[in-house]
Amino acid sequence: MPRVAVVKFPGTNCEEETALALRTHSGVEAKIVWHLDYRWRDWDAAVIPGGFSYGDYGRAGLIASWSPAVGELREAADNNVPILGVCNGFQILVEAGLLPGALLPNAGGRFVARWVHVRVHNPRGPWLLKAREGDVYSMPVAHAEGRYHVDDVSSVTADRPWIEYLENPNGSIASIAGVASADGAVLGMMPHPERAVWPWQPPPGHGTGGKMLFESIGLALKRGW
Amino acid sequence: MTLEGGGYCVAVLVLPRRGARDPEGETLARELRRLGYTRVADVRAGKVFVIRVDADSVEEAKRLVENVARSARLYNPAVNALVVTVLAEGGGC
Amino acid sequence: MTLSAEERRYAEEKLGRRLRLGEAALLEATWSEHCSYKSTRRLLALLPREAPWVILGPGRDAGVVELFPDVALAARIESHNHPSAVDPYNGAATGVGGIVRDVLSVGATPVMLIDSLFLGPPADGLSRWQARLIVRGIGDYGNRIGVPTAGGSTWFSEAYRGQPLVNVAALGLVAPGDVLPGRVEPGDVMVLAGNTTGRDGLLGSSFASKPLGEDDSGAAIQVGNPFLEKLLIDALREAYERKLLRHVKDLGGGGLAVAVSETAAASGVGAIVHLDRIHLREPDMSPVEILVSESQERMLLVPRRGRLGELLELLDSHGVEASVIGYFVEEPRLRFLYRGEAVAELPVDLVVSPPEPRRDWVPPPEAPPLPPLDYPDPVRFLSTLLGSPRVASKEAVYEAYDWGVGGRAVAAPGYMDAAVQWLRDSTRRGYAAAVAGNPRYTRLDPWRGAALALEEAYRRVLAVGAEPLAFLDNINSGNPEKPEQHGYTVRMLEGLAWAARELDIPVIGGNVSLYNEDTDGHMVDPVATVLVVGRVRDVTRALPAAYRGRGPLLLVGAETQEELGGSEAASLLMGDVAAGAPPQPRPWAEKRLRRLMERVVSEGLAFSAKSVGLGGVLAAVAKMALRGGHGIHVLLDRVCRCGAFAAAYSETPGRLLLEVREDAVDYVAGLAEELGLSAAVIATPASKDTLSVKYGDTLSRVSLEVLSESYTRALDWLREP
Repeated sequence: MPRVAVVKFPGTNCEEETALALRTHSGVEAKIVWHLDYRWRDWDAAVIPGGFSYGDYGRAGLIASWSPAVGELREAADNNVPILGVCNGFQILVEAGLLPGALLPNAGGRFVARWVHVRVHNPRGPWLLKAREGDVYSMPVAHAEGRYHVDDVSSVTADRPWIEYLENPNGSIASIAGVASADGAVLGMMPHPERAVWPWQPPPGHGTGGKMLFESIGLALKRGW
Repeated sequence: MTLEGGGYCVAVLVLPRRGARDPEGETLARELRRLGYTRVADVRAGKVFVIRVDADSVEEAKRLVENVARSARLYNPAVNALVVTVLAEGGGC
Repeated sequence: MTLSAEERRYAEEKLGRRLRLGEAALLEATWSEHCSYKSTRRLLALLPREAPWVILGPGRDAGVVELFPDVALAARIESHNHPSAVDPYNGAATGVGGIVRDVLSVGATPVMLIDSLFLGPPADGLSRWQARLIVRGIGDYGNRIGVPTAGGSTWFSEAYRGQPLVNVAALGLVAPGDVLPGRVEPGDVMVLAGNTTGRDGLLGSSFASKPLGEDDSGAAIQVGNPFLEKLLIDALREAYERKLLRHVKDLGGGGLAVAVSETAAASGVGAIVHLDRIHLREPDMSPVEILVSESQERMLLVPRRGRLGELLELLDSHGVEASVIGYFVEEPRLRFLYRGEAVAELPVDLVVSPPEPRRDWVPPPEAPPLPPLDYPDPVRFLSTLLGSPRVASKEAVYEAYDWGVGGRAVAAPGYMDAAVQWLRDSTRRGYAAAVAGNPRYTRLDPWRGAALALEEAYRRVLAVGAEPLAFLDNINSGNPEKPEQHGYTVRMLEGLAWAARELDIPVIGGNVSLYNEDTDGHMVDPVATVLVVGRVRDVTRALPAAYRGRGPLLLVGAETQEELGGSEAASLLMGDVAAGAPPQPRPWAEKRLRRLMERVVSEGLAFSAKSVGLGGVLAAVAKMALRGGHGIHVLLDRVCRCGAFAAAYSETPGRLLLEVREDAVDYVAGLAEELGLSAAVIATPASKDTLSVKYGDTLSRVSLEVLSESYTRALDWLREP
């Protein structure tokens, strides 16, 4: 069975439900791994879940990006190991330079927790294997520093997988909710897929949009992508 | 008063009061030292507002902004210390 | 120092000598109202506390009830009123921190926060500032520690201008066999874990035992570190898994002094504490300052024999600082030493037993009668009512909370009448919690107000299809030294006790916040905030409070009477004035509704359900229609024969709205009537975007869009940073 590491930093909050979603909906072995213990060679994929690593002190993801785990993640990325960063995980990947751009305080100036619809573009790679161009998925967001900014938008949207908000909750440039490496092996996104997998979770007008990602990685790790 | 592009640039620093806790500053100091910057003694984390005002002198500019900070509650005197300092005269804040 | 002259004399007589400075400081902390409940202990004993499913009743840091044979629910409620008035952000934030640590103390994993806020009027700039900061404080702290704020209540009125009330509750999960027994033995070691001890929060709890204004000193403000709290939570969870701990106690009001005293007293032992062995923030602190500091994020840990080393290693690995500070002894004396010198040496008994003060009370005045009012058309008034900040959508509040963290949320706040969470195991089991408390009722008639609060929280738990198990109460009242204010406290507790006995529901914990008056001696509107927790056997059967036009709405429960006294509608008509006796409490109706709901849920008879509360039937129907986005046609005559306005806005308790299938109406109505409840179809599905109301020969209509404007925009100002 493929093995996926759910990397935990001091202050990470969402690791348990993320591991549960991986076990149930990806059919993989998922373990919570302390950041200092993470070694990329021991795992077939890595997920950095949401939360407030180091309390978001300094800037969200900043202090976590100083961890030796980031060196391991860089090597993992160089070796085509799938890496998913959700919410704070996305912030950490950006601070670590594994994904381009910056995640700034929300335009509204406060934390926002609500369900949104997102559209997938240029689906490619292990995390979006089951998605088709233009597919729309429902997921909740819950963050204070989710406003994505990049100087050249086309550098993350042209011929690369990316995720777009249909209702932009934080003022992200080009309504960007998530970006990826060119081959899609590294994906970062602000919405929480692990909170959109169980049937009772979505409110009316929304569905279990997170399942696509978990099913994708499960399939990808078993059959390749 | 001839503001347009002129006036005075005043920085308002809202910092944790002396004796008040500063979890953000303390954590940053500790982690920076852990990262190898052992000569970092401490860090205080706060907020900065840079306010450009229409005034006739440095003193007037400072007094004006102190008044604004106090009455508009840009800081909470129960927990914050206020530092008001004029950065520059004229434009280019 | 608020150790009164009588208290000092009493202590010195018992000791046979003068009090040392450190001893006076110690007693000032442990004998403070906040920590000792000296003015209300007798009254609190009135509340029923026995039931076979209660694992831990009042007296410990949190109460615990059995949810299922393998899972228990821990809960605690507390107020942080005085700090929130001076520093709304940190006051609210540290309130969250404290309540979560209390739940941790019995061995539970914290899973839910609920907050009840009582704020000044939105028209007042200072009140708006306080409201924003309080919401941000709760959000910033709760979100960082990963505990979802899943529900609550928010009240606005003139009475809280400048003096907001912040009541916070937390729930936790624990296996019944893992509930920490709370006993220590001579020879057990004490470890102080968490934050460094500093000068922040010095004598905060005696600060909470004085009216505002006497000394709004900065030294009393506690600042929280949610990151450190999160580290504590994670460390303790691992320690619990590995069964390293015998006893855990949060350091809250009164700091180390109270934590050690209460622990020792509960086990009938004494303790030796070396104050010079504690990790400090400021190296030059005096022994007394160390003793009573209220620095946040600190816990007293007592490891099981032989596990101290493992515990220290575990704490290190989690980044939590710790000091070994002392141990428990057989002789029931507390000895706090600093470099060998005695700072305080007192018999344990004395420390936790303040002399009972004389508290006279005067029955509060009767509620002024409701004057004759010119009732407007109920439909035209609906928009105004839905726009009242007390009634309007609280989305602007809970959007700032990470209500979904942990993956247990069954719905976003506001969608169901109570907060419902899933156990997140291989089953579909879960739990629910709802909070209620109406200060207008309690000001007019504290006995009825408190009883109605328990009824409402109970009823909202019923509405989601859950089974109420226990309650917790937070009494917010005035100065116990003033008989005309203390009367409210007495009557609230008497009313609450009565309703609890009638409902057959035990109390598992509570809090009393007194001295909520300002420098002019004006008491805020007293209020009993009541939290009811319940069991959910299947979260997929939990009922939302959203009407989707799948069938008619049945109004079941007590027969609606014309009870506009203390109602939101009447109060708005009079310009936010309160008059008229609140409705007659009807716990018998809630009990019968419980039996009805058991059938409704197990037989899958309803699509949605909502309790009728503030704003009466028409407000409840409108909210269901707005949340579900479906039009509805109301037959107001069927509600009661009491005039259209009263039918629409009377706040008779003991009533639920159920959306049932057309072909199940007679069956459900029959069940209700068998139980001695009234039942009538009072609304039917209508075209998608209107709410229409028929009474007599009149048919009025209003678009859902117009209602939505009022309902959703009223608290927009809260969204400003």
